[in-house]
Amino acid sequence: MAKVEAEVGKRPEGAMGGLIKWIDDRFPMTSTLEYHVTKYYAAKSFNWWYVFGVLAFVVLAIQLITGIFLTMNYKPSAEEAFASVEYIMRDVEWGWLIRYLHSTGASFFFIVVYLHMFRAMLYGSYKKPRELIWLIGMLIFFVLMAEAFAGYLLPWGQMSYWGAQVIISLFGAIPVVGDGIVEFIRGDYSISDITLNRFFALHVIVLPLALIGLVFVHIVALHEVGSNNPDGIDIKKNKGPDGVPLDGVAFHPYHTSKDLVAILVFLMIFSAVVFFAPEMGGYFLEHANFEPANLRATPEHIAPVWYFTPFYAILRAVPDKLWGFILFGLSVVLPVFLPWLDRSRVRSIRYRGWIYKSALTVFVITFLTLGWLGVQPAEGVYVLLARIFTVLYFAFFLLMPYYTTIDKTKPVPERVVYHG
Amino acid sequence: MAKFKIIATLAGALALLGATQSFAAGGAALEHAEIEPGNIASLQRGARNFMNYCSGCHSAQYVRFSTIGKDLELSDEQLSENLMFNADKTFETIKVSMPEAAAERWFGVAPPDLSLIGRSKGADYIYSFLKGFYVQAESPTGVDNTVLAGTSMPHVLWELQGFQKAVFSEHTTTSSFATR
Repeated sequence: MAKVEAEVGKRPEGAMGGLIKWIDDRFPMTSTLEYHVTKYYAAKSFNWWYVFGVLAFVVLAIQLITGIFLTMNYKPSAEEAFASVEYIMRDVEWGWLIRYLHSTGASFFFIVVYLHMFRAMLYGSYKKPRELIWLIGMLIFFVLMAEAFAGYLLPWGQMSYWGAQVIISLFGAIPVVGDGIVEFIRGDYSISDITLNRFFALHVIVLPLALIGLVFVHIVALHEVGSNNPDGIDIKKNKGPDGVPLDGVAFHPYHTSKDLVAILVFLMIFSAVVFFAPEMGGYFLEHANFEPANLRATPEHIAPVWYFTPFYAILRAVPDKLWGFILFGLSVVLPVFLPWLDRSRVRSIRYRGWIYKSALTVFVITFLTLGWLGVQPAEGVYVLLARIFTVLYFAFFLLMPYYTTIDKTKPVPERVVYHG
Repeated sequence: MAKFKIIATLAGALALLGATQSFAAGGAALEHAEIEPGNIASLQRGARNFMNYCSGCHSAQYVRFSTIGKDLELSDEQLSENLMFNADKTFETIKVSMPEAAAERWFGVAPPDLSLIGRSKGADYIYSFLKGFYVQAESPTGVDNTVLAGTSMPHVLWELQGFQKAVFSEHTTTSSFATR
């Protein structure tokens, strides 16, 4: 036996060593793990803004797992959908929990993704060489929006129906082909059983598959160039004799243990909502959606779920239907161009001048205010406010090449800096 | 530590959001309903009243008698003797005996299912609606409602409440009763 072991030579140690070696000869297991996990070095100066990527991953897992169990009990038909959701809520063992986990998860998905995107804006994570990570991330965001939109139709409540009615009919504003596109999406002359069926297919197969694929590519691209850090510096420039960045620590076990704390805190907040306020005052589950879809009665206020309201406010701020649709689309798409709109020589907000800091502050206020305006009735002073903030929203992006050029930047340090 | 503060503030803001309940209401201001979800006796009276006054016209098709029994601490005998007027088995849901087509012909609109009325409209709405009937001679039912003007529902609780007359007054602020 001893002779055989000596011949194997580089055999990994431990009881599983033989098995690992056997697999490694046939599949790049150890090398992949090392490349992406145990020898992936990210800056040791990560702060709390750097937990939202992992949290988005956690929410994705929650949505996929709860989604499987919902699919086992849900009926994608206009006749049965609403009743099957109530069946899940009342008769299925732990069905209420699974449903609330899924509905709360949808909102938390957007919370963590918005914070994740904001982190990129704080520290210039989208800037060269990470443009492609940002582009893939934006694609994930678009797929996520489609996924949430398709999912919201499934309970077949009043808001499901009329929300979809409003949003889908927006495409009708496109000249010539508009009506054809609307019909193509609905698969019918109005939102019907057919629409529900195809949205179900999109929601449980097409879009989740796309989401998983894109998340995979997002992470592969990230690990190719390496994670950014709060100083926006390149940690690979300063390596120790062992080739490990001096300012970096391995993703596992160092970043994972920090992430575990974040996950625990997240789950505490998440379960507090699931158990004590799953409706979130009508923002996570809208009150009107507890009434079954009724084609003959339009609800008093049709408001999309909170995560779409900033863009919805922009849509309503424009008096013209076509231009409203164009600006609405632009407002969603514009962040795609951030890597090229931002001309600053530094990445991190820490070394930017007062102009970018003010612009980003105004942008955050603008985004939150638009979100609030999106749930208000479109009348009186709200319309005026929506118009003002729409202008500010676009100004942030369209004037960016100018104000990031003239903004005075501070010198960027060689090594990472700790604050607080 | 500033980052902790930001996260704490965000969490706090979310909690506040959950605390505010906003129901869209047309017509009169809603009265606040003092509901006690932990008071079993009160819930039992509610179930009795629902079955006696509401279930003739309104179904609660997602609510099983067995669930009511479990939540309200009632035995199967108590359920079948006191609450189940048109059901044999406790696993049945609260159905309405009135045919829907006939109901639509009689009332103009079929009485809605009430399984989820508390979630879609809120307790204050139900409370104010039930207390909001007043004499209106021109209406086919002889009454109208301060919360839902033009309702086709008659004043079912008249035995308990009697008939009230509307007193209209001009106010810029909403009073406890109807303002027109």
